[in-house]
Amino acid sequence: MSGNAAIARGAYEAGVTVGTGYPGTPSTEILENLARYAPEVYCEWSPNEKVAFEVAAGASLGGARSIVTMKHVGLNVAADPLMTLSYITVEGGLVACVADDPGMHSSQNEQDTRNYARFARVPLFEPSDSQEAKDFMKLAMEISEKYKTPVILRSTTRVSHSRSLVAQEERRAPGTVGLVKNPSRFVPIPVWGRPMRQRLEERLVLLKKEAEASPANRIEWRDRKLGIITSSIAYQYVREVWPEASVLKLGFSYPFPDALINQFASGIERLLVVEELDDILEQHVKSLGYAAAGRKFVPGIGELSIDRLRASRAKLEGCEMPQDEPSPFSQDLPPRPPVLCPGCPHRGVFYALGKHDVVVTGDIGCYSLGAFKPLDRMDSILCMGAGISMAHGLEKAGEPRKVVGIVGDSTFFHSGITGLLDIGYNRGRSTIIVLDNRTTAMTGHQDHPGTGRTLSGEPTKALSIEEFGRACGIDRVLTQDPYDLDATLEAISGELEADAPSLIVFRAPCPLKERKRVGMRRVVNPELCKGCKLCLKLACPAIEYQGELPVINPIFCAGCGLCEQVCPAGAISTEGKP
Amino acid sequence: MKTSECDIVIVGVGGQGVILISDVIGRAAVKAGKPVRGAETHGMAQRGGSVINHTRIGCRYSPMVASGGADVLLALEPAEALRFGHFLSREGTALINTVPVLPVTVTTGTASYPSLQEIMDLLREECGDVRAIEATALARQAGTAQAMNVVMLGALSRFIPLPEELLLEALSEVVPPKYLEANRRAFMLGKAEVE
Repeated sequence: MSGNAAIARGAYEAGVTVGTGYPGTPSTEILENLARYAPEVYCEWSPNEKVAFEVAAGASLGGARSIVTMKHVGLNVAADPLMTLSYITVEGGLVACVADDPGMHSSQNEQDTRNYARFARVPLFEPSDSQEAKDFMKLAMEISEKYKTPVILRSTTRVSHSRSLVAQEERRAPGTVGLVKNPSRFVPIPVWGRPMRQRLEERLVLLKKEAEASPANRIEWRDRKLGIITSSIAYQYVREVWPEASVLKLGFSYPFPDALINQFASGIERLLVVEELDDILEQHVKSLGYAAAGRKFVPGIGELSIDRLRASRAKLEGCEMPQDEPSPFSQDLPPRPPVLCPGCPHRGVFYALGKHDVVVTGDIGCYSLGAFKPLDRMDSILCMGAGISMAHGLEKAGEPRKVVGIVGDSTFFHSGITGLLDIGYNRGRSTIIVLDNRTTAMTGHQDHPGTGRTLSGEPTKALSIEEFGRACGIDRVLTQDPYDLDATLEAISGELEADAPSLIVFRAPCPLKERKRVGMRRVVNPELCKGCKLCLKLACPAIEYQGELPVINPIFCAGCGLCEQVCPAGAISTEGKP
Repeated sequence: MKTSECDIVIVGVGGQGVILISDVIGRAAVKAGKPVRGAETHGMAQRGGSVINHTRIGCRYSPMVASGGADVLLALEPAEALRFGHFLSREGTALINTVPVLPVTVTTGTASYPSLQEIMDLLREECGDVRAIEATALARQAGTAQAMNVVMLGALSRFIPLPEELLLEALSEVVPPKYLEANRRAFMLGKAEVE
């Protein structure tokens, strides 16, 4: 079972009845797995993480056990409800499952969610494999309900996307739901909020005792010469690299279990802290007065591995070990960056934008791949929704070129609407493009408010991006088929010339989701091809070129026909069969 | 010191079916009552990028294989065998599908793709047992080019401590029933290739 499936199983066994979230690698499969327990568990993809968190908080206030799932950057969006929910407290247990991405496999930054636990003063659990992912979810739920506090369960890519064996247990029966009125508990206006603040600190003292006695934290006494304090996936690497060392393994890692740390640190000769990303444990152990080594030997950037810790061990023992020695094999290997898939509806839009001297502010999604050469048509990416708002800011600052903002459909609903509202309200002039492929594609095709389907597969209203655009005060709203290259070029040129803000929705479903070709396969006629290589500018993985004439790989070709439209010699056509 | 019974690194390109192979091994290991751990690639890297999957049979700790630790390197794509060749143990075995998937850096002319011979030669410098497998052609022979990954799984089956019948049982759980026969044929063709 994957770590994510195990977290979902733990939530199910703990009697959770409400699960919410927004897709984000590496967290996505938690909610997808939990949704399989419908109708015993209600699950939804919310428009964004803040909404998801609040929906779970509402369920919890009514007494239901709930979880909310997101990736690390999603917690930034949901930080607002988190920071105050710890004041007003929960009734049914609430666990926020947040997955970090050390090494940035599929993320724009490498922030460490453990900081949020301390920041919001909420308990933190860190599983190191799938069995713990399930067990800790249940422990977290108990702690949440016992102390009426939201709890963070922090996973990482290697915990979420690793598989190991998990023993399953029965589901705990859910309790009854019904909010019990108690304004001085649930309404943090200052007169009631100040005592809440006081209670928050008192609760932390009790939680520290709880962490010190928790089965999630344990000392493994072996050789006392070296003792290692570690948590999460780093524990697994430590056991491989220092099999003889004593280990304090932290699974319930905030509030810091000081009594355990004291017991461990005073029982060993040399203390090392091995943690992925920030030096949170190391700084705390030092603040207790121990001479702990950590960051000096263990890298704080990127994900840890057995190899990296072997280098740490060599350094710690005073021997030189060649650091990050290049593999004898990989020299001169062609890089293989991710690319837009064959038949991707985004490709033509980037190609068309390449015809204009404009600035393009982008967003988070598959279309971030439009930043790579040869498409090379995206100038910035910040966070979800920023494709729209940053275009507006750049335009207001006086950027001499026209500014185009790009977002996806799921991203539009996530946090693009408020940016568009700003443009409508504050007399912006940017051209905003929504690349609407009818799904949240990058994370594996999740539904969203525009798709007409819920997470559990029920039909629902498909909300209209165009209507949102008009409601935000944008008068020029167009809908365009991105596979029609001439019309795409025309739509973009027309809106760039207009002296008013506009919204172009390029709509075509993701062929990877539809699992079918867009149209008939194309072939290159070598007698007509002049070898101008214009088709290669599309960066289509199906078009292969090794020095002679381009060839279209029939296994990959999705039949979108863009290459046929781009070819000036008329050398590309359908081969006559679908 | 070896901390597992058998370490396998499976590499390829997003979309080639790397995850299916590890899924089958994982299920078969569970049936055999062996602890098994593995790590996968998801998300952005899947979009035609390099994909690596670690699978460790009889393993208690890290789901990821260390450099020089893999008993088998199973490559669905030749250049990816080279890219991740440093995982292979000197005593290990490399099984390599011969058909390249050209990256965009090559098709757009900014990088060149090494020949199969160069790839095999380089790997042989570090490891004695390097075998090329015409998996794509064998899959076609089995009835569907899509089953290339299952041909490779069949070849792999000769090098891992799991009984064939458990691997086939696991395979039947993960492929759609209508493709099962073609996939079983693909498995057998792959196995025969290394016997």
